[in-house]
Amino acid sequence: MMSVHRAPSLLQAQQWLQRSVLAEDEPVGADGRLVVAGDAEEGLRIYREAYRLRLLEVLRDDYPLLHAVLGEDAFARLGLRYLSAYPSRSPSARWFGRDLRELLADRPALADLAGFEWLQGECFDAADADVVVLEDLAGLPPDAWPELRLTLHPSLRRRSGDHDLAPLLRGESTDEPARLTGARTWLLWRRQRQVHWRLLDDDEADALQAVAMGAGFGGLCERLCAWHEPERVALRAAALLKRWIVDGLVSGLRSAPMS
Amino acid sequence: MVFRRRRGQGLGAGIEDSPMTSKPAPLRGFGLGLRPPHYEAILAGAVRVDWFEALSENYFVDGGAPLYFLDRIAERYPIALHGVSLSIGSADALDRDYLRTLRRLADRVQPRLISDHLCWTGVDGARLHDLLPLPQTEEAVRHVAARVRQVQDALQRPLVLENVSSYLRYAHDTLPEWEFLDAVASESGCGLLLDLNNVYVNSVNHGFDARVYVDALSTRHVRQIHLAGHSRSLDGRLLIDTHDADVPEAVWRLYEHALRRYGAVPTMIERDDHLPPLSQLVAELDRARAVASAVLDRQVA
Repeated sequence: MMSVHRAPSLLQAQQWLQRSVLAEDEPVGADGRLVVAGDAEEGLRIYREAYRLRLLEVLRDDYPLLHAVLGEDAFARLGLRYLSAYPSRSPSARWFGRDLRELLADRPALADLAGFEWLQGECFDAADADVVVLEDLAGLPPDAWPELRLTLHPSLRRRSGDHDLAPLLRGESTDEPARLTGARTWLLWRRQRQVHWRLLDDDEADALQAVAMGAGFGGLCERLCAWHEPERVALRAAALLKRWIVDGLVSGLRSAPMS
Repeated sequence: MVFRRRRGQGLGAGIEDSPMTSKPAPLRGFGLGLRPPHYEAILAGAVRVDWFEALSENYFVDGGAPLYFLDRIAERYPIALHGVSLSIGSADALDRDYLRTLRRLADRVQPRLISDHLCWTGVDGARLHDLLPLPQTEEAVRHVAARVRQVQDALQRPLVLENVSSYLRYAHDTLPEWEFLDAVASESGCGLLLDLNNVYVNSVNHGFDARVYVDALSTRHVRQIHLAGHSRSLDGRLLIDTHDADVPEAVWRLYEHALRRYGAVPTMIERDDHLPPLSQLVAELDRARAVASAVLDRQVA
């Protein structure tokens, strides 16, 4: 067979085909040279379409509520923009959608929602850990309490946002989330393989932040002093600790002796 | 290496201890692809399936439901791990993080077999999440063979490679697909997972006789068979490997042909989309058992 071109190297052939799949208007092969035989255009169309459909499906799985709010067409347009701006570089498509909210800067309500949905995914397959039960507190001597430190469950995620996602999360609406009067903190965690969420009261968000930063029970009480009268602080701290343990948020207790 | 004993072996009955302690016990009988909507049904009772093939990358996570179910199913059934992102044929360097993650998963579930595809999935760091065809050249054979050896060293286990469906061919191909596949196996020492649906799809798309392909492969290379369905492209000219339909008659006939040539090979039905209830796939798998019995019993007689 007469040929004016040398056969491309493996690298060249892959770069040419990849460029043609990624860019709709890229001809098959460099400079229009055909690197493929047969019905190249139809074959290429299948690869191009499969690439886009597959990754759009990944995004729909990761962001079902955003998909519901936007509707199929607008979601697909967003997804294709994302595919161009943030092409996948990870072997697992699990991580492909992580930056989607970056394209929603001009729609803060949807950016909030996207941020929340991504955390749901993180929570779903975060590391496993045992959880503490209330009985584990029973034998704790009184002087160990001030330095009692909690290890939070690895699935626990917190996110601050200023839109009311609850109607969407409860399946009561597919409207764009309304703006709240101020920023609130969402808590997500996994129990029995299911992702749970709730909106935290401001004092609880602050207290949980302190615990996550390593504060002991004494530090937690100090933090709550900013929110409650001194005589109510111990009661509130005990109530929070009880709820966190019952909900399965705490996977370890440590108590260092007072210095 | 100690292999966990597992129940639910079915065909062939019992797990044969491998004489070489560094090699997993072989896969036997008839399996299904493990899909999350079927987890509960699989654990609810005895299922007439000899093993499950789990998609490796679905379990590249730290915890939660995916690993919970995989661990429990692996306690009851032999597992094969099937990957889609090794990118064995890419001109990029092998992804060492990927191999470490796969090795951890393999240490966890002790698979009977680890497979991926004879393809590439991206170059220059990109990942297209598709099984792109390789140029069928001597250069590609050497490239893949060298990498198979690196992968087997990293995993400390044998690797099996699957033929892929394709919708275009490179103008500079020098080998027919079956020679390319056989050469990769011979030069690298890897086994082959022969997807008969993909053979059939390519025979239509590229115009060859699928039986010639089956006849050309060395019997000793073929370690596993996939059966699946496909669909047609919009203009009807090409078949697309969608794995979203029942196994078509043409693929069943090719399976009979393959059994006559290779003898008993662990066989599974791979369904990725339009997933029916587990019982329906088990019934389709029963047909594979019946086809195999009819062909192999006739050979013995």
